[in-house]
Parts: sequence; structure tokens; C-alpha cells
Amino acid sequence: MPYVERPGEPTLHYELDDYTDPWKNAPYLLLQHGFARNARFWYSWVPYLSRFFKVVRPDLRGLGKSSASFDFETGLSLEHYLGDIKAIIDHLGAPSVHYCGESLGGILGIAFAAQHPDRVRTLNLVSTPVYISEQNKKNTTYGYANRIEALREMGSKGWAEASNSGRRFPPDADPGLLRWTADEMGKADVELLIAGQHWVHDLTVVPFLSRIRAPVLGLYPTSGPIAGDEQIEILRNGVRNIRIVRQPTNYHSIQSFMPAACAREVLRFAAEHEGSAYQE
Amino acid sequence: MAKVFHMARVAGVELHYDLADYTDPWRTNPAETFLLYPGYCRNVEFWHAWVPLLARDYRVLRMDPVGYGHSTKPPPGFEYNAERTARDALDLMDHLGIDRVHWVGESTGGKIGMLIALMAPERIASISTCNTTAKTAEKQAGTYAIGEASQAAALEKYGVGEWCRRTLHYRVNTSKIPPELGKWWAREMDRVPPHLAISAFECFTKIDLWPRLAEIQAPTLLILGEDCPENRRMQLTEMSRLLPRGKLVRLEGYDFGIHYLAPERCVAAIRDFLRQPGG
Repeated sequence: MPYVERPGEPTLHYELDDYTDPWKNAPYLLLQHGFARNARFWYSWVPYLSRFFKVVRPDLRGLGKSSASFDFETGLSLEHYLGDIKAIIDHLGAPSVHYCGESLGGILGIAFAAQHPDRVRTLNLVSTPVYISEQNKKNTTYGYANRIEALREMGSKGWAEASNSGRRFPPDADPGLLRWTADEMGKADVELLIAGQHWVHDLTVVPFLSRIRAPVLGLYPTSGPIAGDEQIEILRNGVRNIRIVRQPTNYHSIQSFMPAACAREVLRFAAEHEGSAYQE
Repeated sequence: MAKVFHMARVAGVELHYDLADYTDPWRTNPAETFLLYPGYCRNVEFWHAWVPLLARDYRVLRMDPVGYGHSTKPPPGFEYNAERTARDALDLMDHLGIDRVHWVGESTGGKIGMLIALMAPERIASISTCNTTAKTAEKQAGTYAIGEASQAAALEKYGVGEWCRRTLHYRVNTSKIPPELGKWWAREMDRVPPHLAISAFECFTKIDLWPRLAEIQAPTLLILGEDCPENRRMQLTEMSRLLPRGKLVRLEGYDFGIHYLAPERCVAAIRDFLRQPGG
């Protein structure tokens, strides 16, 4: 289990799953989780991808096995997150990676691809909004005055349960998956999540879109509650080279409940870019 | 690049292993486990292509036998004992809390699986072998002497890596692999010191499973590279007849090294075999 240690910055953890041929120099594929989640959320993707790419799954600062020993008020910013992603890619010794992010992980990917175009081979976005819509902010207060108060009162796990059942997962999702998801998200320090909500509240990555040089794949629900048509239109208009693929569902967390369908699209997109052979 | 996964200290030896698990973590009944066991002087790494093919549905355990890969290298004078080697695998399973495995062994790795099925039948859910024979043919032993008095003399003279390079075309169809793979293969086998390679060879050539095949109750799939010498095809056909729950699958277009050249087809054959009633 690799850790990236840096003076004055929280220690970062990532998982590396590599079943590529040792005599080949297969490229890295970095899978970046979203808000309140961690590297484990990609477990079901690994078997589909790790034969062809060295799969790297970082924990964002403060989450999973990455250190939460930093000031949440000042330590959550785009600059910090992008520095973390770069530190991991540097730690791997990789000139560049295929980047795949879900939700907030994709938001960070958009900014990273714009700021560090030479480090990103393809950019893959899963249910990624480009900003948090007013509608979304309103829909996630769960009877409280705002999202912050909801989080504080419900706690990480209570908030995750409420948030998962309505918008993220279909009613017929495996109850085990829902329980596990809430348990994992419930491990997050609620103060970190509150600070995170403050930070994303006014965040937009629209200004970065035109600076993305890498080919972009967007995987979205047919009609998503968090990243919907309005957001996808902005992406289509702003990004030079983008392919949008819709999954037949109206729920946000396609990463979790449709892993095979999503991972295969990413595999195809990244492998096409490499011109490499792959087998689904 | 020497990738080391995990070490387990069992019965006085250090065993190198990896247990991959990408199954759903909330399952109430834990997923079944595959144990992928290497052939002569090979190791964990020789199964890398298999892991993603199985690991979404099964836990996948790979291990280096004593003397191989990164596991304990006993000093000169050590003599392999097939039962002890089999017992090491059971000890590792105990260490990891695994009661039963689907055993996959290539070449001599299949023999160890069959031995365990005889020693501790309750620990083996099924066996799948790639080009495993019940007894190593005399002719085959001669082939690997590459002009020396014996295989042992050849190993002594060349070392395991160079000996592997010179005999690789008996092990895998070298016209079907990139040259880098061949070099990598020899480098990995070269982790085994000659005295252990010699002792392991002597141990394995003594194993004769013919008289005991009829006692093996585990469903057993014998995977054979169809383009192999006639003598091996006959042996495996006869083995599948003697094994009470044996089945032979022939993969066209391959000879030796099928576990390496055709992992997708091998895994598809095994999954198909396990789906059958009684499989």
C-alpha cells in the first residue's frame, strides 16, 4: 500500500492494482473518487481495467487512508487538490496518466487536465457536474435550512443514507450495496465534509473547459439529478474533443451500480487512444 | 522489477503470496477462492493475466512454493518432499482462514493439487490443470538435459536462468510470444537457485499419480494444448478416463504454456466446467 509523504502536507494513500504484462510498459489509469467517498469505491472496476492499465486509486486528502491531519478551513482548495493529484502521479514516476473521476473526482480532473495538459492522456468523467446547481443545493437539505446544517445534524452516515436513497441509487439497488456505501461514506469526518460543502458551494470549473487538450469521455445517466442535460450541454460547448455516453438510468451513482458498463466504456476510450489491443 | 506482495510465516518457512479480492464487500456468504499454483520453478507472477479474469467473482490466491519466487530458499542439502510441499499450501490456507479452494495448477502445479485432493479431499472444491501429466515421461526428462548427462547436470552447468532460456521452446511456443516475454520468463525462473531446481526436479519426476487417480473425488478438469506430442495427448485422455469426475478439454492451436498463451480460453473452460452439474 503506497503512501506519498510530503513535508507540510497531509500524507496521501493510493491503491495500485497492476495485472499488466511485466515486460510491457503499460500506461497508468488513475481512478479518482468523489465527495465523502474513498479508493475502495472503485473495487468493482479493477478487474475490467487492470489487465491493460496500471490502475491507481488515490484517497483524497482527509478520506480513506489519506491523512486528515490538516486545517480543513484552509486546506481544501482546488490548488491543494490538484497538488495532491500531481504528487501522486510524480510518485508513480509516470509522465502522464489516463484520468477517470466520478462526480467531484471528475471536477478535479477537468481542472487538472486544464492546468497540467501534458500529464493527462485521456480524461474520463463519470456523472461529473461542472458546478453545483441551485436546484441540487435545494434538493439536498433534507428538511434543514441548508446543506451544511443537514450534514451537521445528520452526521456523515445519516446524510449519506438520505442522499443515497433518493438520488444516487435506484429503488431496486442491492440493499447490501446501499448499506456498504453509507458505512463507507459514514467513516468521513463530518467536519471535513462540512468544510468540503463550503468549498464546492460556489465552485465552477467552466473556465477550465476550453483549456483541456486531452480527449474527453463523459459517462452520464440518461437524466441525472446532479449532472443533468444543462451541465452536459456546457461540457459539449466548452470542450474541444468530447464523447458523451449515456447509461440507461436516472440515478447519479452509475459508478457504483453499473461498474461493468462504465468500466468497459473507459477501457475502450483509453485503449483506442493508445491504439492498444484490449479484450472486454 | 521484483514486486513483493505479502509474506506468511507458516511451519518454519516464509511463503510469498497474494490474495486478490474485488468481489462485493457486503456479501454475507464470502466468495469462493481460487488458488493458482505455479509449475516448475515458476511463481506468483506467472498468473498475473488470470487474476482479473476471475477476481470479480472469486477471491484469487497465488503463492510461491518453497524455493520459488520470493518464498524461503532452503540451503544446499535440502530435499523436496511432495507431501511437505502440498502441506505448505494447506498451511497457507489455514493461515488465511480459507477452508476450501478451487485449485488451478499448471504442469507440476497440477500434481500438487491432486496430491492435496488425496491427502485432504475436503479442502479441494475442484481441480483444473494445464498440461499436467500423472507422471513425467522419461523422454521429457531427457529433453531437458539439453546435451548434458542429466537435467541436474544441465542446471548445474548453466544455472536456472540460462537453462530456462535454452529450454524455453519446450515450455512455450516461442513463435507466439514476444522476445521480451521469454527474457522475463527466464529472469523469473532464475530466482530459484540451482540446488533447489535440481531437488525439485528429482522430487517431481518421482511422483506417480497413476495408481491413485481413481481415488480423486474432486471434479477435475484437464486442459491440454491440442498441438502437443501424441504421447501427452494419450496420457491425458487416459487420465480423464480414470478420474471419477474427470473431464478433458483440448485447446486448439496451442501446445505447452497454454496457461500463459491463452488465459482467457483456460478461464472460460474452467468457468464452464464449474457451471456443469457436479462440476
